[in-house]
Amino acid sequence: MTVQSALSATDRLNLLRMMVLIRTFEEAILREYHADKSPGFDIGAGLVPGEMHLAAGQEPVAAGIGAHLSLGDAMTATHRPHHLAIAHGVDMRKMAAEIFGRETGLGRGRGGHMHLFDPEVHFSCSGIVAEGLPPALGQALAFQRAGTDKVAVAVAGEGAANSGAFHESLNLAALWKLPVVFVIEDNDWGISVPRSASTSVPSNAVRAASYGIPGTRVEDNAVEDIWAAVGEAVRRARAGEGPSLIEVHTLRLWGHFEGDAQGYRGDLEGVPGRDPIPTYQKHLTDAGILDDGAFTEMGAAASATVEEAIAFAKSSPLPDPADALKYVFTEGAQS
Amino acid sequence: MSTAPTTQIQLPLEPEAGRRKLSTAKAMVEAIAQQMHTDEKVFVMGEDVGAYGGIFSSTTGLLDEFGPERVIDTPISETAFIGLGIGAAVEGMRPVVELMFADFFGVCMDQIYNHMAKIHYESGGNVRVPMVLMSAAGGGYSDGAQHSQCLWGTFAHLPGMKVVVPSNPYDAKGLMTAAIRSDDPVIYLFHKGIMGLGWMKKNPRSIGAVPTDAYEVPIGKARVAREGKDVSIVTLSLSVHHSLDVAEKLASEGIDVEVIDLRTVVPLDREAIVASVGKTRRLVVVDEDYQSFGLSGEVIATAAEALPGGLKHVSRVAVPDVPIPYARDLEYSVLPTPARIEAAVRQAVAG
Amino acid sequence: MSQILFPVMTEDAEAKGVVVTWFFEDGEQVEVGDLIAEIAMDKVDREIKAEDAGVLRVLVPEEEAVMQGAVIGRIE
Repeated sequence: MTVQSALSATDRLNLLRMMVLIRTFEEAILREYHADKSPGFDIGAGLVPGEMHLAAGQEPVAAGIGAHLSLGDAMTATHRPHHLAIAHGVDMRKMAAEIFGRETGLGRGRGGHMHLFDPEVHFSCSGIVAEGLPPALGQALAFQRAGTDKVAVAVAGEGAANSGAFHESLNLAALWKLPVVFVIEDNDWGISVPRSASTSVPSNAVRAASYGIPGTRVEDNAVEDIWAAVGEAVRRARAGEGPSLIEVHTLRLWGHFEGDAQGYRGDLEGVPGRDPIPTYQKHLTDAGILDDGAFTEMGAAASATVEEAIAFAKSSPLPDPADALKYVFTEGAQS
Repeated sequence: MSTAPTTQIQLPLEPEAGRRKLSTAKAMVEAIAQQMHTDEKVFVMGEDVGAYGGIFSSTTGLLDEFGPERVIDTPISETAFIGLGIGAAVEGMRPVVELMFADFFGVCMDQIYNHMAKIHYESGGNVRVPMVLMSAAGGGYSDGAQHSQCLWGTFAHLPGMKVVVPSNPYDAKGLMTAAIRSDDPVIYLFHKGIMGLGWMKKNPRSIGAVPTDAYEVPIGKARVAREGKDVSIVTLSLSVHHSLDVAEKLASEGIDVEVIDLRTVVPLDREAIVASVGKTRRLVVVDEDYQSFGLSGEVIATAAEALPGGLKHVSRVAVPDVPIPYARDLEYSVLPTPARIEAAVRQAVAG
Repeated sequence: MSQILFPVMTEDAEAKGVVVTWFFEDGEQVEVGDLIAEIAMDKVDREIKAEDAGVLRVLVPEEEAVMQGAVIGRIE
């Protein structure tokens, strides 16, 4: 892709830096999540209870999108939202606090890790597959009506592309030329169901043709190709040319959720070798713009940021059970 | 405390449980497998029901036993595959379709309540929809507002679907058998906390004796889970476990609690409710569904209509009308916990 | 009399698991083929069935950490 030449060395290092930051966050959450769930795994126990869907392996998607968005652009994410939230600029301390169920969290402990809402950066997510797509249309409409060039990016998994909400959203966005970028994260697995058993076409990008919009598939979890594809889609949206669909073949490095033994997964052995971070690290090292020292430094900086956020979360107050009924309505208390 | 004559509730004939014990999940699977062996028209379909065995182990082992033509993983296309189940049922098959979480009904409700539930009536009884739609319900493990709801009251509000909600392995097997054999569409809601899963804070009452042979627990019949004379707890699902725990605790103080396990929401066993409350004159409804406009109000209305002026106490322990919070302390402050149930019973007998 | 062992499920000699469920109580009679326990290690569950008939002796309670290969019960 010729567009890649537009990436400066700094841009490329920033892509890797974002990927490392995300991975560091996910590894920290992984550690905290399992810290007090042994010897028997009890999903409801510990400082971080509940389902936990981590995005290790999918960092390139988030980094490639985030690089093109600025303050005011919107993003809707999925049940696996951390990487996207970080790349979109969601306050990491407040996000960590939400994951720990604290009063200082994005949702004051009411939402949890699948329900992160940060209005300051127009970020939201849904725990229901594909259901984050339709609201992105509305955000895009609002941006359009306000006369801005802001865009809404709607992210979903490859399994979501088989739901009605996906198809309805593409049609409507195309019909109304809404400034939306649809990004499908194809990590090969809808929990235990392989893509081959769920999807009738080899690439969801071809589905874009049904709605008269551009469709692109990016292979190999290649962050620079993602960056290029999203860049073109965002440009189109900002220019009033309407929506685009991008599918990225990415990687679910870990289970669908923590506690998933992945007994159904025949491809596990090859998974570590497909980790996008060492791959991109080597790519930049070979290109002569990164050395081991700089990479180590990147990791240390990420670690400092993440651990500070985790520490903030853990030291934050828990919500008062007496306030459980607050925030149902804007009055702030149940009537 | 009550001077009213004891009314014996008519219990349906059900087989002896025997000595073999299963978890609720294993009992459900056994019921499905037995019906699949008996009737080749029975098949299972849903997300992750195959190799995974159901996210909450409702289909474990079925793929190995029956193969991919009868245990079918679907795309994440609930409208399509639930609608497909309806069509297959209309043509005489007997699908057991899993909607992974009851909370997900939102993406496919039209097929459920405008089609599955209404076709029999609209056709003047000429078209049957012998389908089971099973789904996981309930909270208590910090899964947040979109993965923790019970919603049986919502399904029950819409005419045309039977709604069964087992609390233990024996009823789980018997109700599943009855549901598959039923010529009506049946919603089968299993609370994750009753399945006997080690990773889901297993309650001891989710392991119990289950007959080996196939049998039915009649749809529409409640069960006296514990006899008592002072106060009736009318409840269902995981709340049965909590209510029995509370009843046992209070028995040592001389408070004699009767626990009615509804087992079925539609049709509701109003006779059982009235018989029990007629005896105790004190009613506490315990329901993990939302409080307003739902099952708890229906139970109270049933008692009030049948026993005008005859009630000394009525209250309910349900989820106040709030989305289920994520943080554990918040969630447990809105769930019908044993502490809340105990407080309600104490208040009932004090009055 | 036979011993009931926690199965070896991983190559990690230090790995620990738990008995998730004892389907019979200590002192109950069990028959050959009865499902007597379900164990879990590293998120994987496995059923244990009785290889002998006799009286079950539970040596390791539910939810207690146990090494793979350890004796968790006996059938007497």
